[in-house]
Amino acid sequence: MPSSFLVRRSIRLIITFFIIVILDFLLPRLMPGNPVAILVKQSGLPDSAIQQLTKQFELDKPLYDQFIAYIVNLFKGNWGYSYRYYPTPVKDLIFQRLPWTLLLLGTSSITVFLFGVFQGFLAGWRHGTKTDSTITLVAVLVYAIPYYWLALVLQYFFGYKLKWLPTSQALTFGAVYHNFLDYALDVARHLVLPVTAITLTAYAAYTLVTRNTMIDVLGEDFIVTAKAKGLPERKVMWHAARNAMLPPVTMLAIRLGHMVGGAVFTETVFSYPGVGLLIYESIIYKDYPVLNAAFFILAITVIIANFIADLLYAWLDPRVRYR
Amino acid sequence: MIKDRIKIIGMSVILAVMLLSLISPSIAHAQQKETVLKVGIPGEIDNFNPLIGLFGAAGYIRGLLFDTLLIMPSNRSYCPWLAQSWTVNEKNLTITFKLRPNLKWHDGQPLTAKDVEFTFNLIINSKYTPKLDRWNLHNYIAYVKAIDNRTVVFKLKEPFAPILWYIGLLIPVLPEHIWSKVDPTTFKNTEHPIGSGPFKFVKYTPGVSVELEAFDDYFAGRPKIDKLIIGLYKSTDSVLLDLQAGAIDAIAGMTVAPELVPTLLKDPHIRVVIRPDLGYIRFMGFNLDKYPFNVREFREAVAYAIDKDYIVKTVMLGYADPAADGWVQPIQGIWYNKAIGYRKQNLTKAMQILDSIGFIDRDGDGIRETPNGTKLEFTLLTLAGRTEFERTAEIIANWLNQIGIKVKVEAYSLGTVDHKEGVGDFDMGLMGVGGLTAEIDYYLYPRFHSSGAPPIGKYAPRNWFRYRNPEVDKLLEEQRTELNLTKRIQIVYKIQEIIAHDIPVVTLYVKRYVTAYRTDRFVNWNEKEGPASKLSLLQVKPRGPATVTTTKTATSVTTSVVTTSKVYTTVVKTTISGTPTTVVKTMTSATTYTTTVPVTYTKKTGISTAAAIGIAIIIAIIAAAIAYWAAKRG
Amino acid sequence: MTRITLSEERKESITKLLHGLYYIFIKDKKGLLGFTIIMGFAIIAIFAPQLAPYNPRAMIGRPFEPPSHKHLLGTNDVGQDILSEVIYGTRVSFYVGLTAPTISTIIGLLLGLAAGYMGGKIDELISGSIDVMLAIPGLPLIIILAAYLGQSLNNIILVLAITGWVGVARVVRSQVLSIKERLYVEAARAVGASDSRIMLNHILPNVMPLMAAYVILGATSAILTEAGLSFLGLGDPTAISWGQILHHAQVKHALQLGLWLWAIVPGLMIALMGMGFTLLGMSMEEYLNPRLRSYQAA
Repeated sequence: MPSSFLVRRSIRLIITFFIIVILDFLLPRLMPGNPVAILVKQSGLPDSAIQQLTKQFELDKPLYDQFIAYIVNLFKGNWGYSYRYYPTPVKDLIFQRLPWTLLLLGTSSITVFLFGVFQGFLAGWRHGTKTDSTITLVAVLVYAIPYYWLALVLQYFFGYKLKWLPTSQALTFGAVYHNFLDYALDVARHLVLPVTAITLTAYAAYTLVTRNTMIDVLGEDFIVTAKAKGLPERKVMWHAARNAMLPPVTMLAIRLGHMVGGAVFTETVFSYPGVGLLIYESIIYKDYPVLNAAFFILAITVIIANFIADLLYAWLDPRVRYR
Repeated sequence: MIKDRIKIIGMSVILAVMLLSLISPSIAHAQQKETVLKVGIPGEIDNFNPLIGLFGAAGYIRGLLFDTLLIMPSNRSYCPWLAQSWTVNEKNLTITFKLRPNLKWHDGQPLTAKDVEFTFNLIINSKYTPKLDRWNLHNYIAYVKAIDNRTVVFKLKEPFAPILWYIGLLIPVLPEHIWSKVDPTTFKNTEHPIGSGPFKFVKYTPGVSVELEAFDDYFAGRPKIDKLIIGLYKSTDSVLLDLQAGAIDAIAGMTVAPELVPTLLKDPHIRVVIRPDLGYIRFMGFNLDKYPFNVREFREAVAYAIDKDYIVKTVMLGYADPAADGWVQPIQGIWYNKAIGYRKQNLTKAMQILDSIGFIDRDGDGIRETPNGTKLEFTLLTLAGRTEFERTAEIIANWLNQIGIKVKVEAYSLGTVDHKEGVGDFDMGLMGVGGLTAEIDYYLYPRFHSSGAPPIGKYAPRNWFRYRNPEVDKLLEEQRTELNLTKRIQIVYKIQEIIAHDIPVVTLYVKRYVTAYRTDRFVNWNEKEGPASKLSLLQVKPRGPATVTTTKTATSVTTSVVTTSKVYTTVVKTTISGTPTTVVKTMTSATTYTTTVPVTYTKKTGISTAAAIGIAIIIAIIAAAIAYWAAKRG
Repeated sequence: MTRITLSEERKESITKLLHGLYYIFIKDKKGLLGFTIIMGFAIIAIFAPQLAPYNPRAMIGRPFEPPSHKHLLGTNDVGQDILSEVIYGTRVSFYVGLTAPTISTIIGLLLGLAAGYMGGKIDELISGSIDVMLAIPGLPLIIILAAYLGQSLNNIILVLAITGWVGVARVVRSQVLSIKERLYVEAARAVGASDSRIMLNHILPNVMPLMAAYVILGATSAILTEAGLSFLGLGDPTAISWGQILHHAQVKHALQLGLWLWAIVPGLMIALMGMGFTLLGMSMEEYLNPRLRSYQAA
């Protein structure tokens, strides 16, 4: 791998990073409306409290002062206090919620990946047969189902009507657990519906990509040769599958941002106490510090994931040119 | 191949077991010896600091942890709580509270008049005053002084009629021995809050729940439930789903959507209650600094185009009351001027008025023009994503179009709407507020006093329609200093008359507050005060004798206080806006309204555990078959 | 060095186009199915006033009426006929589904062309913005923009266009890079053709079909995003879109009230139309990447 490519890529990464930091600061503040006014009016405080709180949150300072404070805080790893949850530090707020989101997205990423890629392999391998067209058609239909709609229907049937699974929350509150297994089972029960909904609506993208790559790979010389040599079918399949892994793996990195979008919907429908819902509420109530922190963490994660995906791709596939 | 088959079958069995264990409804819960009552509330916890807290859900819990000097039950009169009695000296401008004897904090320390003095001094006379005194109480209170352990005196700077509301109801008494050691402006108080309320703090799980337990030494007697768990939900829908599932016993901090009432009532264990004393008002404000909204007749024409009854019937399915025109509503009891009433729709009259002021459609395109030729085309600003507002706006726009005023509905998210209204960048705005329970001064003054209406471009928080009327200003100031209740009521009556005539806003309807609770596990709820209210939770007790553990008998209750219901009915005579009991309407059950809701029921199709197991097995078999087939083909 | 005349090239592209149409609409079953679905919806959209039994805005029934002969899907919370709403919603879905990706594809195409062809500073700038856009979480950005611009249908399309160009620009850029290396562009350059001419005559026709596929594929996600914004209450409340019907069904608890069709039908419509667009788009993509074609399968 030429080092100049790496250097250039790194420089761009740093520039991207700084632009993101600036945008991260500006975007929430560009929205019209005053966060303090909303807070004061919603909680029934008198008009005069607006000035008090504006001062308390240092929103009376000019924008560049706020920006400097934001940058300084960023380097200290401190995002200040949330406006809505004052005086809760943003850090605490996010780290209270993050484990739930990670659990939800982690679990569903695994199920989506396994389910999607498996179906893709099968369709690609049986390319042109009924299996292929059935899998593809179902995938295409499911791909276009609105996520939250499916979530609501699942919630209604399995939670409300059949009462098999809890309809909301991440835990049964007030439950007493005898041991860790009890606890894990409770968490798992609450995960089933959201994860199923995410899996069903998100797997199709992986299936389609894997299928296409698989077909591509099956046309490659080495597979054709292997087949001609009379290698057992299972070995050829394994060979092809390994080579078709790359795009779905990189897709996992690229779709990280999408997953967060999915989290907003999931957490709204299932009242799941994660970061997605926090972001959504913070947008509505203009809680700048929380938004800054959440966007920053997300952006950094996506940048790093993309960077790794890029390198991985370049390393695994020698045909990629380093421009 | 056989090996594969065994593998596949084995995996399918494991999968089936996993599935089964997940859907089995009976999760291993400990058989709890103590009685646990669960309340669901939509919302989050910001902190348990009553001086800076903002969130409603946290406020509900703060209200259970802390106590105020007085309490105002649904009859809207000040009643003794921590204070056993109080006397007002109008001449000297002093209010003297006498505390109950033997009051205790949750940690066993005695609660004395010193704590009251400390709490109010923290707000009006400390280095934290600029940050803590959000109500500007230091403008009205000269000093607070504890005379002895049980007596505390408030000295006012000037006559201020609403003062009792602030010192008696709004600010709870805080323990000096804890709060003197912290910075009250940044004190979260979530670790182990100490209050004097009926419930003690046990545990807070962020985003999930808050656990409380009965306070043995409570002055009104120990609550009859051992534990109270408040579940924090992200949406009102999930609260109701859990109420129906029996996961919670009552709901708080939310009102039930009208269309769901029949669904709830299908469950024989659920009772639905309409609170006659609570509600939200919905109204449409005009931008009074803009032509032609500054023309009273024009506003009157718009007001005549609106059918409040129709909106109540369709959008609210009858779970609301048409709002009185004078801003003050019947549910506000003595403050409501019965002569006001509300305007009925009269499209002919509306058109006549428009004709009379020269707003006529001259070019025949169906839209009227002002005398100087501009078309009557306006926008109606409202909140996006709130169906109630969107639908109401849609309907109003329809009527206005009928009388020749073209109206386009514009919906934005909360922040944008607030900003646009605040700076006056709108024509008409549809809005809603709660706070009908607040002191009448607070309900009226910031909304209609001209001091709250800066010129367009500058943010106006509550008087965003920019109503400026010197006469109303004068009356608003007068009622503040009028200590004689009867006279004060007369002033408030007059204000309503002027507002009803001026029409700075068209009041639309007052949404009824609908709540619900389960009766299968607990009895003796207090419906009148609200099933999840503090007063109700003090008296509610488990159904049946089986699960009750030995409860400690209340020791520190004075002879006059035997049951909680008596605690608040001992009203002490007062001249400062202590209001005699007048509840305008009593609506105890929602059943009378359900006839207006044409909802069809679906049959209940619960699936038994056996069926569930069957289905899971079938799924597993199918999965195994597919896997087997795939393996064979592969 | 071969010299390619314009007329030859044109002839070639026309045959290509015909061949493409043949493949997509006749040979490939997926394309045909997708096309049929889209056509079906198009007919519904065009003849909405004739097909719909009522004016979708007229409050002609009682609120929450269950399905009946009068109202096949029942009525909504203010007594509007849901079937009529669904029929009219087809129009909005087409409007959003086609305009948003068209605009974003054009933006992406232009930026991708500029980046790929001009290279250097411009490439760095555009690639940098692509990186930035990719790093900002999509849905939150859309929510912020929607809140900022206000909830009208056109603003939602604008938001989708602003956030949707990135993928296209990325693909076009790499396509241009590879085409640039191909023989005929080098040939054209050797002949002395100008930059704009090369772009217009040689590169554009090569990326155009892919763009068409992108518009079609983008339609699904545009419709889904509009519905998603509506679900979160950030849609256009005055528009009769499937997303809005669904939003009201959800807010007004259609499922719990037993009014299934109110909630199920618009969701299925979205899925069906999305399926149509995706199938058509896939077929187009497969034509452009012949390896994916099923009839060539081993």
